[in-house]
Amino acid sequence: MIARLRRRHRWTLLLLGAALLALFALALDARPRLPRAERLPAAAVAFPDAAEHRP
Amino acid sequence: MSSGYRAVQWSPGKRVYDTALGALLALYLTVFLGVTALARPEITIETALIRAFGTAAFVLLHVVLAIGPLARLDRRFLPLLWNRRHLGVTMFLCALAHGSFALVQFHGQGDRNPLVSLLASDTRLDSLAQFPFQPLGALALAILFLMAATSHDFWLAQLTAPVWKALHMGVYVAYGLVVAHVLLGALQDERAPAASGLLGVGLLLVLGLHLAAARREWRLDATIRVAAADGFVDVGRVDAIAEKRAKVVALSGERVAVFRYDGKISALSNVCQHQNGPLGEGKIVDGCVTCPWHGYQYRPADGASPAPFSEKVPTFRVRIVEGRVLVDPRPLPPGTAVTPATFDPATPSRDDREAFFVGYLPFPEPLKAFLKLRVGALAAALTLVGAVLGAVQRPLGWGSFDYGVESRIEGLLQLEPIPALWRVEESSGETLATGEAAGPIEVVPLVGLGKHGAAPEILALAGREVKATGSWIRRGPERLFEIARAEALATSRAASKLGSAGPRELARLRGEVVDLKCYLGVMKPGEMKSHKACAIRCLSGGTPAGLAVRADDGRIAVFWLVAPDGGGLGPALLDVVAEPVEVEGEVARLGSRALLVTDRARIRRLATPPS
Repeated sequence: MIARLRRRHRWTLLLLGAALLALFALALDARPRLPRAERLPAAAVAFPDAAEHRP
Repeated sequence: MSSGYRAVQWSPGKRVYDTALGALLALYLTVFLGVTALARPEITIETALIRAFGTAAFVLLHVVLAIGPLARLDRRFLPLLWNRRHLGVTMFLCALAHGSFALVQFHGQGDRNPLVSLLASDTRLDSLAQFPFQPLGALALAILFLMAATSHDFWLAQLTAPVWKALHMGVYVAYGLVVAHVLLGALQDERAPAASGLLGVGLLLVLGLHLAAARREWRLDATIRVAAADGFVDVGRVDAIAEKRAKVVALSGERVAVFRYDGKISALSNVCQHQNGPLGEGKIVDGCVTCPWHGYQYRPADGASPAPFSEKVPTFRVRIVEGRVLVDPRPLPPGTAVTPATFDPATPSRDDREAFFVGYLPFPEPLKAFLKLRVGALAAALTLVGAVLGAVQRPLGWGSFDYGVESRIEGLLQLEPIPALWRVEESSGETLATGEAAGPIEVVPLVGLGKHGAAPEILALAGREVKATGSWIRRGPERLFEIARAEALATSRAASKLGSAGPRELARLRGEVVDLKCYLGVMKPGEMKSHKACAIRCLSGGTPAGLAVRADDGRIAVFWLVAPDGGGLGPALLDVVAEPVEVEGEVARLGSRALLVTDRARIRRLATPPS
């Protein structure tokens, strides 16, 4: 019984490992990239967001 | 071993183990928090703690998972296995701290029960990048809780070893869920290669060690032994077995430990009844086969534990023919006495210089130096990981929230286009009471406490001049006011003379829909995936929505999203908040604020990352 369990665990762990590696590749590839605007409308209130400009 | 219930069977070894564990954890947390404070001073303490405990739990989970295969590959690691349950419980407590802080920060003080919010806020199941990651972490935490709560021999006895073992194999499911939680959560926002690289290294380490250990086991199981006519199987020479040690062989698919001791040979199942530990890698101590994992003992001749213990393992018939050991592969019922095969005790034996560790016996000196070096290496690795993870966190913006600092402001309370106090800008030196829009108008949007818009009793004062008490939230020139109380002033008058939005300009903007209370300073992070559930709660609770746009020159611009017929758009945007979107609408100035007049139909998700 233990041997059977061990074999089953082996396959389960192998599948889990393969699934995690696939998820690793897919999830990093799916990351959204926030676009940057080339031109802001004249009415925009734009400001630099840096330590020296903290309110 | 213990025949009665004891909360913790303390021993000097366990105290050393726990002290080292506490020191390593403190080292990691100190390094992570210290580097975070230096590299990202804008990060608030609650976020720093959430991240410190979360990463600490994840790193400790890797250590927990590495110890098993390491001990299979090199028995000198066995002392680390001895008290692994304390390591596991510590890891769970770190994960619990991470989860609890995150639950309060991202789901508390909203319009839903935090646990309901955790499971039901974010329902984007059709996108990997937007897949709800927090329920995955919560499920992992639930599994780890079950494991931590049953990490005691009391539960092992109550549940029986097979059930207990199956439950604790759940650590692999929990690990998978945690990896997914991190990949679909933090790593969707954190783009530093070092962060994803460290996860990749950890994943490969865990998988590699398990595969290496499994390969060793496969080799053992793959050895085919042919049975003689009477069914007995030749398992090797007597002199190939070390004194008081065993040779492990696979017979008929099961592993058998063949022990040599005092001129005798006995064979019993290799599987300890406690936690399936490998008895054949143990040693005969005080006349008993002693499991290398936790020191459970069995008499070699009958496979039964000495009184008062009651564990029993199957035994096997043995005989010796011309110096070779023969074993009947058919197991006898657990605890069956078998007469040991005898041989001349002067027969040479395989050399055995390996130190044998059992937690309740004095610690073998040769192992001390080995383990000190490995624990030192682990400390160095934790320092490096803590420093790298602390340093590579993305900038979280320079907004601020005067939490606990009360300010008083006066202004005209208007509900359209967003609930706000309209007042003459401070720099003009005028007040609403002295003139009608004599100076530039500042529109100060209002939000309520927690994840709520301004309270209904405050909004009931619309159209009147009020004196408000609350706290400022600021980011650059943008600011809004968390209003706690308000009272109408005696000089209240109508708002219509103060002005309205300026000319509109058609625009198509790309950015992220945010809840402006968090984005402008209350939360770090106040944007992107890791903040998404909180943003949903805030918009659902009535805080104003905005579009955060980043320009090529590094500046950011915030547009207050307003419906064409006036009023905020917040509750209509729950399905697109915290995602990259493209919005079409009309931009206009309202005092010192920029509005973007649009509706949900003109907000489109950017499905694929733009090049």
